[in-house]
Amino acid sequence: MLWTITKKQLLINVLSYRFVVGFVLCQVLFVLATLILVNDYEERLQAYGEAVSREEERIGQARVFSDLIREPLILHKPPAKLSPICTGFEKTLANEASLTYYKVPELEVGRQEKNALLAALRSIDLVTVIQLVLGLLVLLFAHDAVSGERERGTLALALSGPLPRHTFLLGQYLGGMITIAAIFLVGILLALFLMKRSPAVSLDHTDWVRLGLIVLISLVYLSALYLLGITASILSKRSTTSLVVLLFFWIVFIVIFPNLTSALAARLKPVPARGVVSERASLLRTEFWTRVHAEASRDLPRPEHNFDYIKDRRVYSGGLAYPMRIFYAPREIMEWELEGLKRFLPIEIQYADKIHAVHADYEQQLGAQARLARALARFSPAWSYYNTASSLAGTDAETQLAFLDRARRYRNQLMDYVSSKDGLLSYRFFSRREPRSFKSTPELDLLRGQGDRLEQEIGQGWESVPPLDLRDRPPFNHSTFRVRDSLLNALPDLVLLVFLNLAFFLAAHVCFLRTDVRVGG
Amino acid sequence: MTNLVEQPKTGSETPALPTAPSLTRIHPFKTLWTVAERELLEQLTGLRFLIIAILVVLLTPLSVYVGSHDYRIRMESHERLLALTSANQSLARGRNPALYDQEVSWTPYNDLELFRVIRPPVRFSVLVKGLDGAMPEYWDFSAGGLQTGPPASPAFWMGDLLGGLDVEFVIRVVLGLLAILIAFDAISGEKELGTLRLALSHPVSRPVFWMGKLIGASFSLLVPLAMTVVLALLSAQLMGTEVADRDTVAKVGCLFIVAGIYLLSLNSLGLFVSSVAKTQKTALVVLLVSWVMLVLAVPPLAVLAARALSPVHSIQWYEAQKRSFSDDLRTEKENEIGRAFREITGSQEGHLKTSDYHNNKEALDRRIEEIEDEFVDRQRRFLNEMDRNLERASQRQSVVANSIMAISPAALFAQLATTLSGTGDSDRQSWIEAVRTHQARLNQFLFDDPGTLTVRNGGSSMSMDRGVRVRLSEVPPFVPPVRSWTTTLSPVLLPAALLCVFWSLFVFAGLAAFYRYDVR
Repeated sequence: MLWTITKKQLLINVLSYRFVVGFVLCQVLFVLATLILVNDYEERLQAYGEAVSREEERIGQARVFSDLIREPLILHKPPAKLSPICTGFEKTLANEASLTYYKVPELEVGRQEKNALLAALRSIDLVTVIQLVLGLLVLLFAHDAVSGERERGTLALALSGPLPRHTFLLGQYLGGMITIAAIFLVGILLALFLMKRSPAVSLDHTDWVRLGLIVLISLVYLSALYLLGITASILSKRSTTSLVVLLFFWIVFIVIFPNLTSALAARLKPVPARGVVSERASLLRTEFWTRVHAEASRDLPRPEHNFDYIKDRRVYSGGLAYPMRIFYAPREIMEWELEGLKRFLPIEIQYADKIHAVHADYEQQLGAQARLARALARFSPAWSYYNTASSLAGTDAETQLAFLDRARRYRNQLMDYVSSKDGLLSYRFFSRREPRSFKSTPELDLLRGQGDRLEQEIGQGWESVPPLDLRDRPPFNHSTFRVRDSLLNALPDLVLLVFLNLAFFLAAHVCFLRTDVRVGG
Repeated sequence: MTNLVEQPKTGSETPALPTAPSLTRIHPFKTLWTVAERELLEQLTGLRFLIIAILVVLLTPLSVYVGSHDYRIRMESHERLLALTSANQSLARGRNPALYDQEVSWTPYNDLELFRVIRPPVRFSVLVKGLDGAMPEYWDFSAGGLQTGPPASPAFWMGDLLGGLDVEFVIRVVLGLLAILIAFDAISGEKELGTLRLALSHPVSRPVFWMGKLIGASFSLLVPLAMTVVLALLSAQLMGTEVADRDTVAKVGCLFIVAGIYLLSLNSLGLFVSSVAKTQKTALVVLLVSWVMLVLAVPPLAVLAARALSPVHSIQWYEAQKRSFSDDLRTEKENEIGRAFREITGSQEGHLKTSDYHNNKEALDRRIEEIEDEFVDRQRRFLNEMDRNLERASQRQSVVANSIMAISPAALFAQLATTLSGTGDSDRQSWIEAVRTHQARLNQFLFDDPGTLTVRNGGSSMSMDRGVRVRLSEVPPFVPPVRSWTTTLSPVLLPAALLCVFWSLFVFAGLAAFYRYDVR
């Protein structure tokens, strides 16, 4: 009995005009979106590879330790493998973090697209197509599942036989869902085929598990929508009324809702403007430099020296004992610079922590607001679904923030490494000369008159010195969440969607039991 | 009143036959107005109208709230940035009181913020956000070229991923939906009810009937549009944004006109489909699918398709090209200077002595300046060409995207609304142009003279601070882009014309279809 009803509904759906239009539309959208998104992923992956090798090359040219931790070291995050499926926050939050000894990595926004038009429109991904277009298609199928039959008079006929109402309802549901699932699965298979064809995309078994979960949750979402549609269909007298009401809900819950929840979350958990944070950070840096200038001019006056005896000296400011790189200088200058370094570097690191505290505070508040917005979004099944898919694809805000966390921990690891090599508060920070070989100015004056001796003493320049061997430095690993973590993150929304399914089915059942099946009823 | 029943001329007094009132001709305008009035009343008292009206009443203040909140945040950030920059400038002055009036040694390590250009947020973005949030908050100028600051409103949360809720969105999506919902059963619905046959059995010609329907539906659309606009203005005023000035009122007026044309074109599309479809259900399904495609799907798809058809290398690629060219060029220049050094001082290959430089300073400086000029010229030409290529490629892509989007009246409306508000693509272009010009001017004034000189002689290298002097008080000021009626009108004409074309196309098509419509 059940199977008969299901088959009948299935046939009605498949042979209808809207199935053909819907099917073609969905497949076209899936294919187009996938092609473009995979292309975009390939580009981003290539950019990532180039950026990483550029960074490696730069570090390979480091001559002194300040080249490693004073020049900004940029850590890169590879694009998420499933980002063509669900883009999430991948492009809005930066995929690189820069760190130095005086700067803790902070939250940054993504690089602005050259074409600002792209930035202003919603980014389309497969989950969006499912959420919007398939969602609408589902409502289109569901709105006259019962009321259409009622209007045609076949509902009264069907129920006049020994057909229990719940069997009829279940059959309608299954028939509709199989139709939708067919359109959806064909689309997904096409998309996966196109993804696998690209040489840049390589999915391992955790990725397949995630994909499977995304497919599953998509079906649960579509099913919830379908049941909602059926309920509306049962409750309304004319199918056009139910369609208009469903459209109203669709607009409110899919299109308008996120703005509402963001506005509400911003109201309930306000966050200071970004400008306030930058201002405080800027003030702290100004405070540091004022202090350094004051102390340096008071306690560390520059000793007398001869320009001829200094080669390739790069410092923060002419009169200040705070070196970056010195190829050669007389002993007095070197010792003076080292004193400045030992004095001011720890202070600068302290200020880095103070500035970080300001940023961390801000990020915490942002995080609280985001979590509230996400919790509020659970009221809309469409956004509950999107957030879950985003978590599973590894493109949600948490994943991005986890990368930032790891970057910060890596900074500490790197500083420990440099200290272990005695490169932080010693001559090795800015020079490659052995302290014993330093010559004072009088000694250099002596060498002056002896032909080439002075030049030989000073040397040729940085190119004549081999780069530091930094191959034993700690590696940065950017592993993504394990599947188990993603699933746990996604679990509340998944449970909610399943619950919605059951609730809507129950509602439909109860309403159907009491509904008048006659034409015009 | 023409008497259509001819009286036979007889002499006897025969009573005149009563003339059938239904055969008298009534002025077509009166019929038109009757039909229109009836349609208008029917729509205004319907369920759909009520639902959409509720949506409008709820959404308009909400969208204005979101817009004004966002604008306030951007304004605060803007003011803070201005204060910070001037504080930095006065601090620099404090550190070296003579900074502005005397010559200062310029090196690449000087504070970039001295040359920052900060873009103020556009007040009308409270109503029509457009690109105002996506555009950069500021630009920095340096020897390495233009550096773009972060976007004014970075999109952190999923709501922003949708492109934001603003008045333009309410008109484009919600009122657009109303336009469709009013029209879909105008003809096919009446046919199913049987009233169409009745109506046409009266001496009402088909075109008059159809036009009456169109006019009635149009007025019933203009009512909620007016409601939306008035409500938006009131909410904006209540939330603290000044709307009473001439500029804003003019913009709102233009927005109203443009929105009216947009809604009428959607409505005529709906009426056309209704005059072709046999049942109202078919009409509804077709129109809904069209609505989804035209309003929601075409704009982002157009952008994506443009990306695929007319690809542009990523910014990173361009920057990598520029970087590697600059590096190579710099090494070449340093070697060239080394060669000059060898020539003038008579040093051998691989020997570099600072004293040699100071002994031959004058001759060396002159030669070095010549070499610098030549290499700066080469670098500037290459960088300009790269920038030009990027701009051209982006332009091409924009043109492709806009052409594809032109099939959607909704996309055209979005373009028009943002251009009229000062938050559109043309405004972005004019800012980019102004900023580029400023960089070029600063290049000429300051950056082309580097502060640190590196000499390469064989395996030996030497870096020196050349002490290039510049007067910061003479830095050329930034000229912001100017918005005049001519700059606003030219990008508006084509999309507006296209919208009118759509409208008239659908009207004619609908009329033609209705002539052949089977009313049984």
